[in-house]
Amino acid sequence: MQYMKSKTLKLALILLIPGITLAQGNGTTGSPYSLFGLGIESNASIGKNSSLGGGGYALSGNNFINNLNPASYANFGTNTFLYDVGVSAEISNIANRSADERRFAGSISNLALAGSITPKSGFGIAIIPFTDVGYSLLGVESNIEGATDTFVSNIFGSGSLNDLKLVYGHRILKNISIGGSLSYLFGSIEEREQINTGSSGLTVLEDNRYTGTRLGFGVQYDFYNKLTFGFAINFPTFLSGKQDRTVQRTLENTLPGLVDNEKDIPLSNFKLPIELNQGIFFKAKENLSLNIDYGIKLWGSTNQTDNIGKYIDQYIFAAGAEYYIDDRGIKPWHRLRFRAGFNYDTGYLEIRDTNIESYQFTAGIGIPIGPGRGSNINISFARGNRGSIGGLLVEESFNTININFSLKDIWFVKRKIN
Amino acid sequence: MKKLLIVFSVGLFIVACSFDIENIPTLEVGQEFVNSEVRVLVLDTFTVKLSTFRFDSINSSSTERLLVGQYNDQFTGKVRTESYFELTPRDYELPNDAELDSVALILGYDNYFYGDTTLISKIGVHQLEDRVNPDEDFFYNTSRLNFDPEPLASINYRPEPFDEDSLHISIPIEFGRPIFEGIRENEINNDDDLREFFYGFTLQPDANDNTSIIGFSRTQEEGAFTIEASSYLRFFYTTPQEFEDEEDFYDLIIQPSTRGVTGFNHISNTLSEESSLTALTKQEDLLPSIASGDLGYIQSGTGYALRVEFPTIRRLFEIEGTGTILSAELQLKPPTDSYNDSFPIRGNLNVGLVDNNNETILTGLLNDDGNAEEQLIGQQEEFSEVLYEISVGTYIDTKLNETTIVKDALLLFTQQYNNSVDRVILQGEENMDFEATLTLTYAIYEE
Repeated sequence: MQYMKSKTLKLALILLIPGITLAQGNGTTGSPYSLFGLGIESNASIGKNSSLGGGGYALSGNNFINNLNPASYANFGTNTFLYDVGVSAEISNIANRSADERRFAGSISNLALAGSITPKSGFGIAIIPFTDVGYSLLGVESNIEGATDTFVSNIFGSGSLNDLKLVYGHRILKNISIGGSLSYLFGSIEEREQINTGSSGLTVLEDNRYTGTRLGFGVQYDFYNKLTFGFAINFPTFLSGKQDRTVQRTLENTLPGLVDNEKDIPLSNFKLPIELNQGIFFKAKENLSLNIDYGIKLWGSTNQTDNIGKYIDQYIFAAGAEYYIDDRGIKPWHRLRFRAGFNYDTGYLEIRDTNIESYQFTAGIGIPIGPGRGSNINISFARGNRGSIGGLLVEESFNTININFSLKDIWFVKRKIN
Repeated sequence: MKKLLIVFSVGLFIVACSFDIENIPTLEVGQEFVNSEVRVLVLDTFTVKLSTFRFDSINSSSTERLLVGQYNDQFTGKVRTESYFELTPRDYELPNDAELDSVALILGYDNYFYGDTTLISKIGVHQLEDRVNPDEDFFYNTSRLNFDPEPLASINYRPEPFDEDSLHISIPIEFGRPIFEGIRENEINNDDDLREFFYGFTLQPDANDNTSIIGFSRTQEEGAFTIEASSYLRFFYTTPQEFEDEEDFYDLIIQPSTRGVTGFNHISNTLSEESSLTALTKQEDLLPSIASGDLGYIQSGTGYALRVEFPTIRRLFEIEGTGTILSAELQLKPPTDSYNDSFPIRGNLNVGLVDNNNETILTGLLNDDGNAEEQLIGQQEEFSEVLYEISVGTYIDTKLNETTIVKDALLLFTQQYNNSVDRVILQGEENMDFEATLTLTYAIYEE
């Protein structure tokens, strides 16, 4: 046991370091809507959730790390170690009434380690993207005050916030598990605006760093062995921010010069609302299971507004199904997991009386790998739309591919062979 | 297996990084629902204070141009230019049997004129009684040398600065003979010997002329060993030959200014008693435009120049928020009746910096690197009217950022300032026709 722990720790460090490094500056989106607030919520989730419509609050942690509900960490089983790593890529098409263009973005989508402590409890650490920013707005025209002219600016944003999460789950009764999570939210968002007025130019570079912590709590309750109910709450919190600002200017065709360089300018806190999520998991047959989930994020109560948009309460509906032919089948494809799902999100932003809603269809397969039980490569694909093309808004259709390696029990398999 | 995991992580890292290259899209949709976070303002309510001052002296000996003439200027009074120069030959070699036929002073036009060239002007050629040798390093526009009040020769002529190459003035042969013979007989062998006979000439316009000022040039071309003279004192002579006499000539020339101080122009103006410019006696004296008909005065040669100050520029700080200027443009306009074909506006203005006493700090303006840069005011012709526009962003930025206030000012002056009489009048900040204006573009990046 002692040996395992130290090995695990070492491995955890090795695996998390690249994750933390990466998480600092990567965006997995090209959405212009990421201009608002702290960016758009990342839709990359761990493991198989992404192919089940992004839901799964009632899914047991039996074979994978279910980061949606900390209570699932109680169900890893005995002497289990899980490692989950994924990459995701997004190809999107962004259009308004007159133009459209293709964008591509991608990065590591998650890194997680978890293991059982006792047969009734589990612990894990994960780093997952929280929000993503990746926009570039070229040729933004604004009026010059005191003149009839306009000036043109290019506005760019990039960066991401990440969620470094410690999770603990415990089974308190035979059919009730509870769990808690402590998140450290951190990251930086860089915004760059370039202005050109004839022979002069101005570049304002703002590096906004946000940090905060958030607590989560979850319950899973098995009505009977085929039906599980899950509930998870994330408590409201705020992120405090600091900004480094650099202003560079080109004055009448001279070389660019620094006119302002200020560090650690305090930013007003960004409030995160309470999030209430619930779902059911139903095992219709041995080889067919369904999940239905519903979530609420009460952004309206944060009373926050952005430049143009305002924050409104957000409702998310998700459903998914998983099917396989025969878990003990000799033919490899008999053991493949086929998954499909749907997600509808009313969005948290209202721009000119239109909320930026999105929906996506998901599909995926899980390929069992390795000699042990429960290791999978999960490939999921999502196709969706965000926003609408009406008015001055932008419609974005995106295709996301997510590849996850969900590895279980690897440690002990090796030792047994030795 | 552990190794495999590490390899795996590294692999992912590389994949993630290569994705990152494509991370910033370059799309042109989505900009309609955003505004710039930067406010840009245009402000043109700052006071532009114009004051005329006068340079005590201008080096007028470092030029190839001879200026002669006199005219009455509507603004700067009676403007008079006199030219003083020494004449020396290229060498002291003449054939022993050369016989002097005639002597003439040839003045080559250099296309410069100011005033009415259709009127007949008078030039008197006088012998100098002082050697052309400055007390200090140079001669100035205020300098003069003694000369014989009786002209050696004089000419009434209609200037043709473009249609003719040169002006020919006959000199009495009696004047030329001793010089010619002295050189032929090897009694005059060098410049000092020559100065025993002759210091040089001054060209004096008639005291009553109100015509024009004309430019002649000393040299056309100066090579390492040869000087192609444009203006010279020419001795025409013949040498007897077996069948036919050979005609030739021998020149005394004005050595180029690059080879020493061998001449200068005296440039002066006589103001009427009512002129407000009479207030200027010392270089630090100022004549604000509001005290002189809302006009500022610039003239090459006579030494008038314009000092431009922006006394209210720091009111920019009263605007809320943190910002920086993106450009500053000064617009100035000469009154339309101040120039015409006879008194043309020639090209751009020079810009410089002067201190509190109107001593020149710089000609040109400081750029961002701290170097002085030649900078000209752009001249725009709109509706056949002249408007000067000058970018003064770097200067204004310096003024806004200085911790202790330096009482310097922009200096505006004409080109060819030491060898012409070009004159530009500019309208001041309260002028009814066009107010001198400073237009600032200011960007606020923090509200």
